[in-house]
Amino acid sequence: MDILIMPFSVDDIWWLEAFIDDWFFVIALALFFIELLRYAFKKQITKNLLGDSITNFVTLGLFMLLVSFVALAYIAVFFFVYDNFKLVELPPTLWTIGCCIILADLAYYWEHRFLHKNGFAWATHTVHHSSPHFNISVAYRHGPLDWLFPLFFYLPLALLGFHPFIILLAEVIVQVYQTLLHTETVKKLPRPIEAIFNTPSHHRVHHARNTQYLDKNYAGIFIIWDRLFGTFAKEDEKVKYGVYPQLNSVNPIKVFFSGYVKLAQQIGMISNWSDKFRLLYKPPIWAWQQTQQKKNTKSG
Amino acid sequence: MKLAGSILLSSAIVFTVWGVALLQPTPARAISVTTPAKASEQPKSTTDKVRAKPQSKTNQNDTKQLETLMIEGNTATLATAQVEQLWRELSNNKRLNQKLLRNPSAIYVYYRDFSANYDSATITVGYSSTDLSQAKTATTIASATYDSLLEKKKYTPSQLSSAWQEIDYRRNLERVIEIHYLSENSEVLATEVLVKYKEL
Repeated sequence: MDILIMPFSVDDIWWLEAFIDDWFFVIALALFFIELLRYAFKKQITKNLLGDSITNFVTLGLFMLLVSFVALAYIAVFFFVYDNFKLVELPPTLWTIGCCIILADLAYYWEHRFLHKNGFAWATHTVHHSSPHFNISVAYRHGPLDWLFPLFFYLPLALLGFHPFIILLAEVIVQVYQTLLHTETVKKLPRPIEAIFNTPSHHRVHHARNTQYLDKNYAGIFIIWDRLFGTFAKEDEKVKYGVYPQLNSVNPIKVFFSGYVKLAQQIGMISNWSDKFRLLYKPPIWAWQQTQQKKNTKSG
Repeated sequence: MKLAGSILLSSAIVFTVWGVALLQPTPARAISVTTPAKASEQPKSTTDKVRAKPQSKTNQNDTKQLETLMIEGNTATLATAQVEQLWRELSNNKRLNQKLLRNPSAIYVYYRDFSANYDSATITVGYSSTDLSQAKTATTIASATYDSLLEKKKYTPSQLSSAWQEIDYRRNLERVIEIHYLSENSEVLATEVLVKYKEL
């Protein structure tokens, strides 16, 4: 009990966040190497798989480049809200960190659900989903605005009195957990774990383009959010990865900007201004439905 | 579940978890005496509004002579912001507490050997040896004249915290002594903060 309420200095928390951030990437690379060995053993290594994996890490590089421009401002916003508008000040203890992780995970669920239900947000998140493969490298496949949307969902935590460094630590822990889910190596985990936690099986469903799996399993760490809010699907049928229509490219620049290029094209093709605007906030399926309707009208 | 229902349920979860975070036993509550545990947090890394606006007048010009004092308690070299850890250790120090002759009249917090940036120091939180049946490993605080940073009075934790901003860090800080005077029920009645700078 004592350890839960022993206060840390915020510097310690910042150090821990940076430590996890840096060293987990090394661990992830090691895990990816093991996955490659598994692919090799199963004779599944293809040029496309290697090209796709390299592309994933290049998009990570492009993403980090953009993040380097906005990181300070991102942190400053949290401090501004915390310093000026916090309702209470929660002590920097393990107890607080634990509560923050639970709330950050819930925030992640809603942010993730938003990314799938808003045209403008989907344009960046679609990059992550556009790989036809599923391995650790896919976890690092980022779109250009992936840094923007978490801000709005995690910021209320600063208002509730969680120190910005604790929020960032919780964000990193959720992200690190999420990263580990991107694998086909782990089939299913024991039932109690599958019931409470997000697992590779649940996350494979999330990356599927099979109709019954679409827009399911948004969770970060706890799958209970999906179970509670009715967005859960169990992995039964074999998963087909990627998005409709398939991107079919391993060009990192094309992949990185694919979502916004496609959104711009869709906006350009529509003459009605209200529909142009709808493309930005309606779910991506709405754009697809419009296209199908037009096709049906033409053929009819 | 419909979207509105999911959002409502999420709000309920947020307030529940937040409530749990708020209800955590603070170190101040965890120890047997009500301690102004945050009194010693140096205002260095946060931009806390309260700390930015000191609410207590300090008495930097007043001096006070303190005779040689022996205190026994828990000592560690650590970040001054983590002094609460020592308060807790003192509270859990059964061996020492069994030696108390009576309810202690005061708890002393003695800071010395500050790091270059005043982030950390060697800190002792303990009782006067006169309150103890024996004091084999007592720390001696040599007789000296101190600048009075806060006169003996009841202060809020934020006022105590703010007082640390009034220390003249340009001068060589030698030691800081916080004296928390206790009631019969071990509640803090008043606090006094004394500062000694190295003589050049």
